[in-house]
Amino acid sequence: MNAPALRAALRIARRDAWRAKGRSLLVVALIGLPVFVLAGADIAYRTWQVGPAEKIERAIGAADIEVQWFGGAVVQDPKGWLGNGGIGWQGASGPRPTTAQMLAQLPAGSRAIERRTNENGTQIRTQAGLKRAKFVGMDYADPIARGLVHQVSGRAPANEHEVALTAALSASLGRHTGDQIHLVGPDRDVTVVGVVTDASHRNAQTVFALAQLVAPAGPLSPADSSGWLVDSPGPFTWQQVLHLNSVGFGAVSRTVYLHPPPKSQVPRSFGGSSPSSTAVLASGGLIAGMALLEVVLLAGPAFAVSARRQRRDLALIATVGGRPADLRNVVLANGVVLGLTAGVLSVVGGLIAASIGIPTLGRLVDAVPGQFDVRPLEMLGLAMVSLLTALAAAAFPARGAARTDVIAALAGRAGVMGTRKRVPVLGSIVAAAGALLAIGGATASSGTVPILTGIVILEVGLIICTPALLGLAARLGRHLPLAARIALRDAGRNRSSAAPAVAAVMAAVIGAVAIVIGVASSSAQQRSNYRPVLQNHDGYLTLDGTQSKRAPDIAAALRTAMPSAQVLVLRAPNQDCSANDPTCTTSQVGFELSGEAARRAFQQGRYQGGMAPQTVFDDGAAVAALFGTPVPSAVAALRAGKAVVLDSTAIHDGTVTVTATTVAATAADSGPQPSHPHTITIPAVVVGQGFAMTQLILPSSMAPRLGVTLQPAGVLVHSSRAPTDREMQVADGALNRIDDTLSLYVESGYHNANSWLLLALIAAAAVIAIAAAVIATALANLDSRTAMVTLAAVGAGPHTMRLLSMARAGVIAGIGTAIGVVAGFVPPAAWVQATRRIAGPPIPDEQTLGAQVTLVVPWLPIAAALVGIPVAAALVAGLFTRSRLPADRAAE
Amino acid sequence: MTMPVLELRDVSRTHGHDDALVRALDHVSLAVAAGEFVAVMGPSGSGKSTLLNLAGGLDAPSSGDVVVEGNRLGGLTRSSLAQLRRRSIGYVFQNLNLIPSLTAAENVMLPRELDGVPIRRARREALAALAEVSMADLADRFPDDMSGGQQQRVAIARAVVGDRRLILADEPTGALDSNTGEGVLRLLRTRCDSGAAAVLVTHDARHAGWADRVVFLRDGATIDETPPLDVPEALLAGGRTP
Repeated sequence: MNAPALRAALRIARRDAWRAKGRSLLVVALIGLPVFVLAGADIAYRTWQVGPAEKIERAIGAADIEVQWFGGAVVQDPKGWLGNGGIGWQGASGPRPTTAQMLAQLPAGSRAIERRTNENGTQIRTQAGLKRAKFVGMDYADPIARGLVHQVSGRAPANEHEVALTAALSASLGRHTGDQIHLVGPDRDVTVVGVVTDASHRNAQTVFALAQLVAPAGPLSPADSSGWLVDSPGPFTWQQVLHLNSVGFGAVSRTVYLHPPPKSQVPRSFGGSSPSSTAVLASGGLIAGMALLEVVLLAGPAFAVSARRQRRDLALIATVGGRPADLRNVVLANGVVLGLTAGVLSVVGGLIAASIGIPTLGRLVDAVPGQFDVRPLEMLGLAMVSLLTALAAAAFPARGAARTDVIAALAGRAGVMGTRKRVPVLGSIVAAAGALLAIGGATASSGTVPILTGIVILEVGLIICTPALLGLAARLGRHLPLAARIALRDAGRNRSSAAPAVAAVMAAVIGAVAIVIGVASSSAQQRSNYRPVLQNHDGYLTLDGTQSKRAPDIAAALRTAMPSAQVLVLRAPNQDCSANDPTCTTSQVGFELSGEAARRAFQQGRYQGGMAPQTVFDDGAAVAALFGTPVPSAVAALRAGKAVVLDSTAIHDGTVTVTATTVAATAADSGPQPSHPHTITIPAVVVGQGFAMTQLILPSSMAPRLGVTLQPAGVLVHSSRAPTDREMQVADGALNRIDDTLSLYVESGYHNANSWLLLALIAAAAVIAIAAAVIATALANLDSRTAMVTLAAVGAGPHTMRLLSMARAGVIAGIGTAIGVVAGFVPPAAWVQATRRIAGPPIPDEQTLGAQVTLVVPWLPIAAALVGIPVAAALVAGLFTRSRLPADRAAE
Repeated sequence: MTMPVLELRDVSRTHGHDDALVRALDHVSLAVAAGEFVAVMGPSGSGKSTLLNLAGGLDAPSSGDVVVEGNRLGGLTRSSLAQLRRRSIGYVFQNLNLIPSLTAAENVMLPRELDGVPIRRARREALAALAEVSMADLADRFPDDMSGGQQQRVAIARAVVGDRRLILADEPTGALDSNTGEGVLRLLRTRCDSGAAAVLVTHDARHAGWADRVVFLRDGATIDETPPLDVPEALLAGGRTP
């Protein structure tokens, strides 16, 4: 290879690209579009992904450390709760230490301010009802907190009767500096003295007050992230963090965050990068690879046609001493020129789009973007992706160019590139190996990498086979009508342009079929696993401690909104202390299962995350509504002081053992105060016909024996029909006026949420497939002008030209779709295997939640694709084919 | 006697097998010395173009040997054959001789660039070759902006650039009017007079008049070989050196 020859090849390519502007533009657009999107996305991602220095400042302001109390032995990621590993602790948590006790564990000279955060927030009384907002207690005017909030107007709160609101909350409430608001949690009127914005979240709805005004949710509650922001006299090292861990504190240190310790000094569970991150990266790479392969295949025919139009030029180059490699390089140089053009244009375009789009987007989304961040190396990499895509697309035609039959080209004969016999054999072996790897990988190993690798190999194998398949198809056309016969033979003769188009259709159809089968299988599994939480059409609304006081109003509002429904207030011990009420207590009442029954119940999901309380106290009035039908035996049992259970495994010798545990939510700086559990054993009956919304119904007389206080726990709306849209609107409106966090859930059975997404994905795949066929057809039509002239000369009319064009598109789309449909079964088969492996062996119970996923093939859409895509491609090609006969200049 | 620049020794070229066997060239022998201008005439399908393809190594004989400047082409690799075409053999075809995306100079430079000659030197040589065919002024024109005769002159310049000594011309005047055609033949004659060997395939006896020798082919075989014909047009043109 010599430089002057390469330069000559590039010169020819550059000039040819300019001469065939339309074709060049098509290729540049096809190759550049994905890179354009990626470049814009990369800049947006980098801009929003704030750097470590900015991130730590947003999290802890100007402090050196943030310290939180966990109790027990703390094990933490060096980045603490800001890191991937998070934080863990063992052992009981004692009362929250005072600030002085905390400072005693830090170097002398440290100074701290308290930051109390109750993520459950507080409620603010408004004219319309109640508004919930995040509640942060912190003197943000202190220099330690600098950078956490930005004062927009007014000043920081200076005493317990003052608060500042974020701009979003101020706008939502219509309350501004100088106005009074009422906070329901601490139950006091406060004055708004300032409006601020949160450093990280533009739309945060937060009330800022001094720390003493905020009662934390409790140190072990997930809603609590209270702690101290500390200014330490020097850098706070990892060793010092480990010391804090040993005495029950977790800490995020600016120094450690910015300069993490070596892995050897980090507890093992937090020591390494997540093992899944490489797998995620590899999977992402493979998916991107498949998308780029599709682009390569779409652009391939353009290069092939370009190469064929250059045949005489290539032959001339051969006559003046060009080697096969020189001829190959001339075609590859087309790829270099168009790939580089696409790369530069798309990266510059992405840059411009990002610079315009990010400020606009920044105003719309909650997360505050950081500095506009363009990584030159990443942009260069994306431009290289474009170049490599174009080179890959040009590779197959280039291979053909190197084998140009010089004499045939000089004589103006078409010259048919044959396929060596071993090529389809090799392709079949590669495809089979890919399918085996995908399904075998799914069965045997963890992660998606082997599956995706297998699918990519399968596609490559099929692409290798495609030219031979086209050759085979060409031979089968003998008895077909003229247009179809010519189209099949043309596809066979011009394999360098037809094969990538067929492969592009195939790849798109593989994707579509895989998605259709995958989603159908997944939907079938979800449908069989769907467990309604209420009787169909019933509604339920959970009440927290504060809301329960307004249960009669809520029930009345629902009765007005839904006159035909039966509305019942269910009574149970309180289970939710999120309303920032220090006197609040919660109680859990239920029965314990042991051994096999518990395991099965757990696996069936019967004891997880139901809507309603597991246990309801009722004397028979709610039975008919709970079960959706009158159950006299249950009413009789409750009236007789017996428990009603829905699971026979809970009953032993006609009795059930019920335990009640009450926990008091406490004032700040002290831990939870669990009471002694009460356990009673009472006679019980099983009702099998009902619905498992609650597991246990107890007569109200049992409440004192269990040491629990009953209160309205929820409102059940029992109806024989689904509420109308109007009824729902009236209900939502009425509930919102009472408390904007109230929300009525209505059971409406299983809905396939994927259907629109599925339809969109299938449509996208079909569009790609049809586009591939039509592009290839348009290029083939251009390429066969001479033949068209001959056809016209022997009397073919415009009708024949159009039919021929339609047949070309139909042939390409038809062959591609047929291969794609067959190969499309591999990815879902692999997915099913992988899902089964992850789910483990089936549980022998027909009510099992983890019903095994099986391959469900929706034959109708697949058959529709098999017929519809070629027909649609043919119709589109026919639509865009000019009826005018080609001018005779092609015969020159 | 000096070694011929081109020598075909009992060369045959067949296509197909058995009943479908076609003898494109049948035991043809021919030697062209340096400075000699040989015309090959014959009806369509007589094997003229096949002879030219074999002479330039674009095709390989079924039997016999083709020797160019002492190199037996049958013994050369594809790469060596390409090198021989870059350094020793120049082709001129009836039309579409030039690559449309390259200027006249770049078309002439092409064999030298493919041979690894630095771009400046290649261009210098190309301009010199163009000057020899009186085309230096049009060096930066694209083929589409030139007349047929001008294109053929550029093709001849490309055929001789880099001191190549064998010019194989396949109906180089076929697409030209008679005056322009005469000009092209005069140019070929001049190149031969200055030491090159040329083989001209033509249908036209007048054009053959420019040659030192005429070989007649029919059905792939040499049927006659004569000294040049003294046709009046050739004499009137006065271009031929007796």
